[in-house]
Amino acid sequence: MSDAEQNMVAIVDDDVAVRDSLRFLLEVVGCTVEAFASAAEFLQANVQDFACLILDHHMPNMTGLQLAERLRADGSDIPILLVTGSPSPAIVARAAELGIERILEKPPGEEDLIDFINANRS
Amino acid sequence: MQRLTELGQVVSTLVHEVNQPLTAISNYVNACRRLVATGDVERTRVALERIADQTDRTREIVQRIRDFVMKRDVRMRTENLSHVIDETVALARSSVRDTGLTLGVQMDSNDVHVEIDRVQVQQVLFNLLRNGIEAMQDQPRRELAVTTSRAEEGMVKISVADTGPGLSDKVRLRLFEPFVTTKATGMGIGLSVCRAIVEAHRGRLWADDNPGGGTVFHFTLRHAGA
Repeated sequence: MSDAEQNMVAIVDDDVAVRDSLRFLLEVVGCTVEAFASAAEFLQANVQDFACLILDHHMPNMTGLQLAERLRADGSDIPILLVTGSPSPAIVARAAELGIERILEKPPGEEDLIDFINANRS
Repeated sequence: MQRLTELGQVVSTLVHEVNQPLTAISNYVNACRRLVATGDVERTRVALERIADQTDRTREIVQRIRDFVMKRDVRMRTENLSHVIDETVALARSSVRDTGLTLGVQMDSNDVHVEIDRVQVQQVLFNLLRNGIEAMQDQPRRELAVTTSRAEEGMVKISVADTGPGLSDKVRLRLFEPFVTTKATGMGIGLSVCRAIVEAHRGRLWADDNPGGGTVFHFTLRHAGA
């Protein structure tokens, strides 16, 4: 497996423009990216394939936090970056409980995104 | 006071919506900076097209903000309550993909006329229906029932009952506070706004336990000519 493949980044966001633009940017930066339109879609993938996860919180059916909860319950310690339009104290607290590395407010800054990815490369 | 809370709720939803194309634009702009530095004209061109699309999308949202602000005078008219309810229930039904969920309507009479701002009252009812649907998400039995009945003199009561987990004491205390939500998505207008609308119509909005399990929301409206 190449270095890029080993460091695959997963993106979960229900908005197609956010998803496509983030993948576009991260690929320009040199990452290998796979994007998912929902938490349910991501759960069908092999979580261990990914070095880290950039996760939108505000999604229908299953929120970002609910997905994180599920991943942790399933025994995954995949590094997670949560992106939310409104980081309430409740969200921040819950994210800390779930060992979510960082929360960024939408729109997330490029530097913060890249710092997170670099910190979680193998 | 009522118009301010309503405006706040709508603004918060629109802010969330406008954040999406804004985020996309931000990502593409950052990508362009790097692409221009390496001289990748083709990919820059792609990114610029997408920025243009997202700008159009933002423009549409701004237009909706304008529409909302301009069109929202309260318009009280005599309306047939069953029509108002049927329309709203049809809309809620179309938003449900759960085949195990039943949505029943039972009206005391089909000839009840109420004095209301139709759009506002439909917003309230739609919100209660969506709340009920979401509350029942993980329940084995998912039945939503809308009923009308007599209330005190000159008033009619509309009830929305779900078979969800019911309200804990903690949630019940804060139910009608503004900006409190247990929901992930902002499809509704918020219970505090619902209450403000109902009270502006000289009615009441309150919640009870559903005897069979779950929650019932009741609100009252005035008969036309009462």
